[in-house]
Amino acid sequence: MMQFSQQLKDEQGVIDAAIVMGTDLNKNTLKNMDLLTEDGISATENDTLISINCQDENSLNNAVQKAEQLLVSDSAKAKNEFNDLPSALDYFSNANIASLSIPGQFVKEMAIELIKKQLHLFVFSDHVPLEDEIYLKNLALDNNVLLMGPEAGTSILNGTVFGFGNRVRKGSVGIIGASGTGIQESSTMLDLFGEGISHAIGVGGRDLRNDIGGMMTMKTMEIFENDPNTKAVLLVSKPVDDDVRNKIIDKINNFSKKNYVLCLVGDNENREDSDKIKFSKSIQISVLKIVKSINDDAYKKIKTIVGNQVNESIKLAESLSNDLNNEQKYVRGFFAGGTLCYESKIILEQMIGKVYSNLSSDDTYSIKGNVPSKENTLIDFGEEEFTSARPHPIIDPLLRKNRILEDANDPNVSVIIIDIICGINAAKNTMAFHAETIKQAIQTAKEQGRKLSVFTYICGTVKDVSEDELQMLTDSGAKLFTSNALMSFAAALVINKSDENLIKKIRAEFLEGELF
Amino acid sequence: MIPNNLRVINIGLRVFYQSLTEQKIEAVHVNWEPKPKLEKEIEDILDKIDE
Repeated sequence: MMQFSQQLKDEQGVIDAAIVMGTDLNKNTLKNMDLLTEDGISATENDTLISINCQDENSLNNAVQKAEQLLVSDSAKAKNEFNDLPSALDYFSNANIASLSIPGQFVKEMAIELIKKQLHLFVFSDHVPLEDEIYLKNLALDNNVLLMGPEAGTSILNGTVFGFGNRVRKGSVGIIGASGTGIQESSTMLDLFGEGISHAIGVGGRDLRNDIGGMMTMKTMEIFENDPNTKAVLLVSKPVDDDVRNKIIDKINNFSKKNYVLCLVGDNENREDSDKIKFSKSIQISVLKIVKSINDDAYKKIKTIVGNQVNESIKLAESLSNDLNNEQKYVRGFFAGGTLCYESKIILEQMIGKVYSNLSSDDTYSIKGNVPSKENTLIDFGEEEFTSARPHPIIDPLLRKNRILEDANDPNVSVIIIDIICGINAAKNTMAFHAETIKQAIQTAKEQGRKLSVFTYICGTVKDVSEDELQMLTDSGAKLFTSNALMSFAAALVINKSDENLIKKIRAEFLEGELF
Repeated sequence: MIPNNLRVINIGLRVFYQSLTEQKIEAVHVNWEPKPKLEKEIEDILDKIDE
């Protein structure tokens, strides 16, 4: 249904569209999208709701025809397709993994059956009750299988992408991620630096909380310990509960023969590196450290390149800063990646002060994503208010586009920062879509006598993004950055010329590591 | 522990099934839908039978 909705939106004259089952949740989402009609209200769970908002009647007629075609097309009846799990299991009795993307409240029942049949699980679903996750992870351990997720955005097993992921080269780094976009940025950056991954295992955003206790993180550590193709392990997560972090550190120190980098985005402590464990506060630093641990020569070359990129970004920011008028004081960031939004928030808050965000835990600065921006604002478009029944912004970037154009009208905005997540299962033509959006945003500001900067971090490899697409984005007026941390650093410098000591600190902690 | 030859059952979003087959992975798809809600009266009758 989701891809059909997207295909409908690509039709000429269609402003917004959705094809969904008529559940209460979906109807509520349609209401928020201004797509719920009187007929729609009376739909039931057994009805398919096709809701389309068009520029004119002609476009509407065409779109309705298109919707009918889609629903009866061959692609709606894929090969090897079954209406229930027992039929699929009968036919495909040697299956060894299952990928679940069904509403969270239904995951437990299905997962139990699959785990008992010794299948590994990749669970993309969100809203799985915590007690279900605890039960299922214990059951998975008893049956010696992996339960990746719930809310696993990404896993890459032997080069095969589950969920959202990139075409990265194979290599010797194992990644454990309690964060989908954390896995995506670290794996693509490794690829950019000429290294690769053995596997990337998404363990789910809650795995490193005390109530889950890192069950799947520990299991994955054992897998990497016994994997001859894995030389070093990178663990990427938002802050980890103290007990779980200590358990992981003890396990590495006492049992591991591999080198580890722990990337704890948002961790305020300055932790001392040891022989076996290196710590980092940003994805960029964690990748530099992991490369150093496996290939010191490569690291030295990369470090010089990164140093030059940082110097160039400082110059760019100074130059753009000179183009601002007195009213342009704020940064706005609109993200598809939750961890990227969070990392950006940490960097910006150190450089320009508190930031309003739907990821903020500070009541004063916590705002819902769908209310207008205030001063410096960062919004994660992957949060519930946007995705309760609408596709993730990596698949469907329309809401974010609208917000970029809305904030381009704000005379107080000097720079807008966005991540563009490319690769497998990302929106088709996402680069062209964003290039058009950025062009419009910059033009809107220009017509009002302002110079607006739009910074982009593109999460993708050369196999995901073509040279032509990069050129298209550059031609739109966007400034391109090789990491989320570097983009955030440069954005802060555009609106606030930081002192030398702070710049040195940010470079050391988030961009380059052991610098001076 | 991670199989070299992945054979996947995809349950839910068809787009994930399609991307697996595009990656040359052996996969099947389960067209999952929530169980239809029974009319209240039928539910009551079934509950009585269970009792």
